[in-house]
Amino acid sequence: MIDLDRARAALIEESRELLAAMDAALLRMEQEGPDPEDINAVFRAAHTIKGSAGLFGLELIVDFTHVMESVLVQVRQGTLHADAALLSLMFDCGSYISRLIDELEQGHEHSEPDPAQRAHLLTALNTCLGKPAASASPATGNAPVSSANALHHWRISLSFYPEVLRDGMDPLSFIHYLARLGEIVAIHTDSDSLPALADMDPECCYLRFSILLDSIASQQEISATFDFVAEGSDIRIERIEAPAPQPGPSETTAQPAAPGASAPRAPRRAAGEQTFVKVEARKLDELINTVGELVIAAASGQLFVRQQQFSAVGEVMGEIEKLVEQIRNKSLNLRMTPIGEIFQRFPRIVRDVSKDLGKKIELSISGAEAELDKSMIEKLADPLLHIVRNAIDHGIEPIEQRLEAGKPAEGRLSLNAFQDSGGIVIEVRDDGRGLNPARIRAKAIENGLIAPDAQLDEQATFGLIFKPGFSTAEQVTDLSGRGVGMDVVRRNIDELHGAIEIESVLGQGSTFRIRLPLTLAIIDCFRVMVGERNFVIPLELVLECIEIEDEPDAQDIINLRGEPLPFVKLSDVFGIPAHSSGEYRSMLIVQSGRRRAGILVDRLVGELQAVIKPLGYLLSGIHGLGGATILGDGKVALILDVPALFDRTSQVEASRVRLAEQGGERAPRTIQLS
Amino acid sequence: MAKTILIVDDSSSLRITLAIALKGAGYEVVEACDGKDALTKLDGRKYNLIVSDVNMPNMDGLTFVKAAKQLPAYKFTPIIMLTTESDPAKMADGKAAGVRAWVVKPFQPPALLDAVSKLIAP
Amino acid sequence: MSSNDQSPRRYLTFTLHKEVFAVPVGPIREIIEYPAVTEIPLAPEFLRGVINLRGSVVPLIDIAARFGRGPSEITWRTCVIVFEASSEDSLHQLLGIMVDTVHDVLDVDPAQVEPRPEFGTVLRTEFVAGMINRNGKFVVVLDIDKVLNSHELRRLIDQTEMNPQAEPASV
Repeated sequence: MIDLDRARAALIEESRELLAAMDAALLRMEQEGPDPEDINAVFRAAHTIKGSAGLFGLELIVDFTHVMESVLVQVRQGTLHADAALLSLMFDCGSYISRLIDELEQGHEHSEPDPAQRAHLLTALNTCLGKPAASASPATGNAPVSSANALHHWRISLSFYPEVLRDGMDPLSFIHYLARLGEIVAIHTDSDSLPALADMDPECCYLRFSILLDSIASQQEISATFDFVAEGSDIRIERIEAPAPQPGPSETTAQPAAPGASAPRAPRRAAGEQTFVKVEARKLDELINTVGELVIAAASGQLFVRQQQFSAVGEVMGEIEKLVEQIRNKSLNLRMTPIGEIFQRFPRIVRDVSKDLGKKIELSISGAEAELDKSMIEKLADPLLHIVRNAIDHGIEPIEQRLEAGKPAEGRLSLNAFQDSGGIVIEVRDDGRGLNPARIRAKAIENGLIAPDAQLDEQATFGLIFKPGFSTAEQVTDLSGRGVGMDVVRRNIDELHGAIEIESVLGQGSTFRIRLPLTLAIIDCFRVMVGERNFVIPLELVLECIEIEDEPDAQDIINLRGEPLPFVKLSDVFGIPAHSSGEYRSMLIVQSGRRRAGILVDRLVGELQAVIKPLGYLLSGIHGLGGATILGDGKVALILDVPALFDRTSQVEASRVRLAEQGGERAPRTIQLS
Repeated sequence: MAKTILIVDDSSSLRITLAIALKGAGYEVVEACDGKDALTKLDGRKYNLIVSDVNMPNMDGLTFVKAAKQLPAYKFTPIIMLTTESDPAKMADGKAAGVRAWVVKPFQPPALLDAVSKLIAP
Repeated sequence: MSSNDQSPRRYLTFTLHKEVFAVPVGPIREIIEYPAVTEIPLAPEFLRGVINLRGSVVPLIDIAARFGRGPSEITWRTCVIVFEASSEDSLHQLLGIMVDTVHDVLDVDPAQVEPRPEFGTVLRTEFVAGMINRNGKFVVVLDIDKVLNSHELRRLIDQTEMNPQAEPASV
């Protein structure tokens, strides 16, 4: 049963991919006119979904795709033209099928999500076919139906067409099959037509067979046995009255049903995430090759141990270690999926949303090949969708306003992804009206998110739109609103250990920039110590490590090659008592987004690869900790969440400054670097 | 020894489902996702039967079957083509290539098992 | 649980600050020796840190501190009982609690379990599931779901974390 669940899950995933490809093809045709490749892609979606759904007896899907396919066959043959109306109809059909797939995923494969829409679409499709509104009758499986006939005696004469063997047909297997329909009482092989040896083609069939069969099957059913070879062969089936030598035990050979395979009725799939990862064959091959090398290395290691050549063993161990690391990297790489998997949904979404809003939008996509962990890709889809909808709804102005502002009528929206310092950056850029800091501020004050006299720079002001409670009911439009605000976007990105920043120029447009780590599973880290405590910092954030000669004094700024650089003292931020913290002498310079700062620790230990372990619900509220990892000695080390650490520090500092202002002057502290 | 069937179809759910049904009936199954993939899988292994879709990316089913029939090892291998009822021209083309057994999509696994058991015994 | 009310239930007894407590064995995953503990910065006193339980990172709770009795001392007999904290919203979190010594497992007839008294125990009454009469002495049965309620613990941890000045991390 588990296998069937697997098959069903595959059906769902595959259908969604095909529908996405179909959407993409339809869009292209809408813009660039009909193209045989694209028509084929649309056809294949309908065709393959129909075929696969048929296996599961999903009639709602099969009947529908069947009609769709009939229309597409005509388009392929050129009897129907792929005009705007037809493309639009196909779009709607795609949306409807994807709702059927959603139902299927929920385990409601026999419930009709939208009878009115279905009827509407079927009528439209049938109109294309020049048929009245009556629905086309679906093709059904051709499983033989046996009537409850009485036992009869049959004589079957078989004279196959000569080339039957070349077509891969073995006369014996048909006779074998006959035995399932009843009892074969006698077989007579007639070799009369065998030619002389010199004339004989060994690849031809010259034998004829006469068979006596006792069966309750109908003539039609018996004759169906030879359907595949009927053409060109002489097959005669006659009912005879003469009693067979022994009446067969009919009850044991009742039905011609195949054994061991009733129509699969998959049990409901447990609700949950799709668990498939599509893997490029090349990646898998590389992994397998490396495993092969590992096996060889291990074998030679064993040999050296037996021969007690321990220096050689040491060498082999080094080799094995290297291979294991490669295998780990390569297996992780299997989870990497191109971000195009979600980007490809956007042309359709942008088209629909802009149509609804009466706006014209040109979408450009780049960097679709950038890869990201599969599980992250899935979680990224929603926030990205929200940002894009928001950009179309609130960012890009209505046509009149754009023309007034001297912009082209067509709004520009771009989705862009690229690798950047060990992570991936995804940008959503529009050339719309841009964010208005003054209005955001006013609104935040109105909603009680900030005090009227709060001092915020531009980034912080933009950041307010991610606060829960910023987006109010009056602003929620049907499209981008849907009852959730940008705070959900922020939360989703946070869950992916990512960060989001906004760049915006009033009147010129906005860019939402999402930064994500490539994977959530393993990261390269730098291990540091404060007192006896271990912390690790994602290596991708570390710019450099420096030694500090002077003990830093009060001010948390150092002079790095002439530039002032703020730093945090890890022991201060985490309240690690001074008596355990020893001498502060090492500093990591880290960069997160646009912020650059130093982190002062006791000791730099070195690089390691950390398998990230979640801290769990209890500890996930602690700012500055992004997870944990287990060190070689079995101890747990905490992973620093650098952006959160910086946030925390600025908060703490703000309150310290307030205290200082109340409590008197404090001399600035600086450290001079050699 | 169990007989081995090569399933060639671009739909992985179809392959999985057929594989389950065929394995249940005692056959061994090898899967290929298109004609090209199938051709590479012909090497070094003997199949008692090939079940192939017609419409596939990279290499369609008929091209694959014609290529397979050129190989001495597969000259007499029975082939079942999976097709839609809307492909009469393809069927004629297939016949010329030595394909006589067609199973029309959509079908349920018993229909295919039935066809398979006409051509080879488990 | 209600269906087999009459069959005896099993309880694990342990000592905490010289007092004996009992917990139902159901949610107990395992009992381990006191392991290496990694402290969590800015954590309240009852959160000792995290431990490595065969590759999982598991929070370690000092329940004596949770009960307001100050931090437990670690001796060679100190053990960690690992629970699977069950919770209505299925946050399956493993949690370890530190105890001074683990004693034994009792089979107790449900009739022997007295309802919790309104007062008289030194614990918050909601932490007490009942009392077991053991040869005339009463052993407090902890309501472990309440004691280890994830939401409550998280609230306390977040509170401390936001106001580190209020309770500096002690060592």
